[in-house]
Amino acid sequence: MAPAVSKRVASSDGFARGAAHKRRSGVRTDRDGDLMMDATPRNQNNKIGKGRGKPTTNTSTTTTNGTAKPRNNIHAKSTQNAIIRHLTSGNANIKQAQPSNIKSVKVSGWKNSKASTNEDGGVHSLLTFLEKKVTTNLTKKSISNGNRKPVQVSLKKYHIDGDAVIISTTPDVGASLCVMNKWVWAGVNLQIEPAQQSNAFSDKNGGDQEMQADARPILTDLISRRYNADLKLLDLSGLASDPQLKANGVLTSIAQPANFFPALMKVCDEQFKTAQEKRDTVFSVTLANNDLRSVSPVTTLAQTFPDLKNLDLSNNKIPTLSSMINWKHKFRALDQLLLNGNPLEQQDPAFYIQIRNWYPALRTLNNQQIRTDQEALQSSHGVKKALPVRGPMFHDEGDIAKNFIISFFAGYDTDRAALVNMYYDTESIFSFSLNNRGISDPLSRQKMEKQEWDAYIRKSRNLKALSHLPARVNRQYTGPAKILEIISSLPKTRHPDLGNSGQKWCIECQSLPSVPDATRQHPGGVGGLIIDIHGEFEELDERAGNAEKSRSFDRNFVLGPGVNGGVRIVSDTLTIRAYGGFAAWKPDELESNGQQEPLITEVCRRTGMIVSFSKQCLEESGWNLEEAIQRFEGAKAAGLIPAEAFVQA
Amino acid sequence: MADFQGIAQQFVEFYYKTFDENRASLQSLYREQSMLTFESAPSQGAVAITEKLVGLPFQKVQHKVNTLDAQPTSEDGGIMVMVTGQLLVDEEQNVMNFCQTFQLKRDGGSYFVFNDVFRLVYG
Repeated sequence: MAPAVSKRVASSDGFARGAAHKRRSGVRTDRDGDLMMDATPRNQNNKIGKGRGKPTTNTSTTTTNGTAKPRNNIHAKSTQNAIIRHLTSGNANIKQAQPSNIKSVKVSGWKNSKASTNEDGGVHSLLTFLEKKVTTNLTKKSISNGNRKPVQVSLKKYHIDGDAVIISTTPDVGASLCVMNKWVWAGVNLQIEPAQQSNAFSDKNGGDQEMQADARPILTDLISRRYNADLKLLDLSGLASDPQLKANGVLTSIAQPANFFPALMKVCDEQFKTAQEKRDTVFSVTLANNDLRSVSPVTTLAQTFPDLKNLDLSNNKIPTLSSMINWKHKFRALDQLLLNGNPLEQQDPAFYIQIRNWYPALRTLNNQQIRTDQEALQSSHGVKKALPVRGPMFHDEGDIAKNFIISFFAGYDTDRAALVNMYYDTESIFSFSLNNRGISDPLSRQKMEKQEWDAYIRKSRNLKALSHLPARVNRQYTGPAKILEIISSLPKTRHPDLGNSGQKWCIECQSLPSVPDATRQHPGGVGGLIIDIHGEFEELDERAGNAEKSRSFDRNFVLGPGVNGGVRIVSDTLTIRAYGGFAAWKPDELESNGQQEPLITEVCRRTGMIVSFSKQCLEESGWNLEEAIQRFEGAKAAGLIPAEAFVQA
Repeated sequence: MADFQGIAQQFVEFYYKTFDENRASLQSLYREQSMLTFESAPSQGAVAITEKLVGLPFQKVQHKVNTLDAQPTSEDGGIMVMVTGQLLVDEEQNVMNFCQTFQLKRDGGSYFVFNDVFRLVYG
C-alpha cells in the first residue's frame, strides 16, 4: 500500500491519520499576484519628486503641460498596479507611486533668444546652460542625500526637431530638466517638457489612467471593429499593426504607451451596465500576436473580464510562467487557454501543471484536454475559489474515534435501537436542525419537491428560526428513550462506505480536555474527543428500502469515556441539508501534496504524456515512479494509450 | 442553568457581525488555550488565530447564518454551537456554504471560544 495515497479522509485503512503532517506549511495561496508588486521601490521615485521644490517661477501659474510631473512614461508595474487599484478601490495614490521615467525631453522657445545669432542658432549655448543648471541641481540633491561626490551632467544625445531640441538622457536628468520649464534663458522663456509620442494617450493631467477626450472615439471604434458578436469574441490580436491605430499614431505596441490597454479596458467596462451583461457579451478574448513578453501591460484584462471563457495568448513572447504571475488564480471560469507560440513552451515544459492549478475550470490548454468536463465543473464550483483546502485534521487517540465512527454509522443505518443502547446514556443530548436554504450541488439532477423536508422540519431545532422557548427545549432530546424516539422517527438512511467511498466523508477530530465525567469521580471533567463530520447519505424509502434522495449532513459529536470502558456520546448535533456533493473538502489537486507534483512532472517528461494521463498512471501505480513508467511502457506496447494522452508536437 | 440558547444566539450574531466588519477584533473572543481549525489548518492562541483570520485571502466577506443549534456540554457552562450558512467573499458571484462548530467556555461572567472548527461544505 502506498502511504502517499492517504491524503483524504478515509484511505484504505479507513482514516487519514497522517493527514496533518502533509499540510503545506503556511504558504498562502497568492490570489493577487499584483500585491507582490507593492515592493516596487518607492525611494527611487521619490528622489526626483522631492527635488521639485526649487524653481518658483514655474509652478502655479503654469497651465500648460510643462510642470515637472513625469507623465506618460509609465514605470510599468508599479504605476499600472496603482491604476488597477485606483480603478477598483478608487483611492490609490497615483501621484505618490508615480515614477519618473523621463528619458527624452523636448526644449522649445529658444529660437528667438539673444543667442540665436550664434552659428548653431544657440543650441550649444543652450545645452551648456542646461547642463550647468542640472549639474548644480542634482549635485545639491546628491549632497543632501549624503553623497559627497559632485554630479557632472553632460547632454550629448540630442537632435533638433523643428523649433525644438529633443534631448535623450537619464530619468534623473530628464526630471531635473523639466523642473526648469519657463525658466528664462538669453531673454526668452524656455519651454521644457518630456518628449512624448504625440498621440491621443499622451496624458496632460498627470494621472496615467486618464485619457484625453480624443482617445475615447479611437478606442470605441477599435472595440466595435474588433468585436465579433457571433463568436462573442473581442479580437485584440496584432494591435500594433492595426491600420486605424497606426493611422492615428496611437501606439507602437500593445504595451506602449502603457496606458493604452488600461484605457481600452476602461472603455470596455463602460459598455456594460452589469457584470452579467459583460459575461453574456464577451466569451473570448484574443491577445495573440502582440509581442507580449509578460502580461503586465494587459493585466487589466482580468479586472474587466474576470469571467472570460476563452483566452488566446498565442504567438507572443512570454518566456516563463512568472511573466504571467499577475494572472495567477484570475479568470476563475476560464475554459480554454492558448499559449502556443510562446518561448515558455520550451523553457518551462511543466507549465501545464501550474496552469492547471491556476485555473480551476480550465479544460483545454493549447487545444489539449487537461481536465474532464466533470472535473472542471467540480473544481470551478466556487468552493475553493478563495480558500485552500487541505486534507482533514484527524487526531485520534488509540483509534477511539475511528472505531466509534465506523460503528456509529453502521448502527445508524441498520439498528438504531442497538445504537442508542450502546452510545447514549441518561445525560446524552441530541438535536438536529434542517438547513433548507442552502443551495445544492449543480451536478445533482435531483429535483426538490414540495414536501421535500416534511420528514424533518417539524422536529428541526434551528435556533435561528425557532424562538419559542418551549419548542427550543422540547426539541432537545436528553437520554436514550427520547433520543431513540426521535431518531427512529427520522427517515432510514444509508451512508457511503467509509473504506471504499472515503472521499465522500470529511472527518475531523481533536481532543477536548474536559467533558463531564459519567462516573462523577472527576468533578473537573475528563478528557474527551470532539468530532466534526461532513458527509452524505441516501434517504431510503420506508417500505421498499430503496434509495429515494441524497442528502448532505454535518454532525458534531462530543465523546467522553463510558462507564464500562467504551465511549459515550455527551452531545450529538446534526444538521441535514440538500445534497451538496463532496468537492468542498477534496484537497486542492496536486498543490495539496507537494510530493505529487514532481512525480507528475517526471512522468510527463519521460513518457511524453499530458498531465491528466501522467497523473492517472501514477495513481494506478500507487505513486511509484518506476512502476508508473513500467506500467506506461506496458500499456504503450499493448497499444492501450490513446493518442490524446500525448503532448502534441 | 443559564440560557445557553440565548448565549449561543448572541454569540453567533456578534461573531459573524464582527467577522464581516473587522475580523481583527475577533481576538477578544479567543484565549491562549483557544484552538481554531480552519479548513484543517490549526492555529492555537488568540494571537495566532487572529493572524490566521486576518490573513485569509479575501478583503470583503459576508456571512449569512442558515441554521444555528446549541447544546450544553459540561456542568461548568460549556456550550457547543453548530452553525451552517453561506459566505460570500470579495466580488465572487457564488456563495460558499460553510459549517462551523464552536465550543464556548465560561470564564467568570463571560464566554470565550475554546475550540472552533470551520469547513466549507459545498459550493
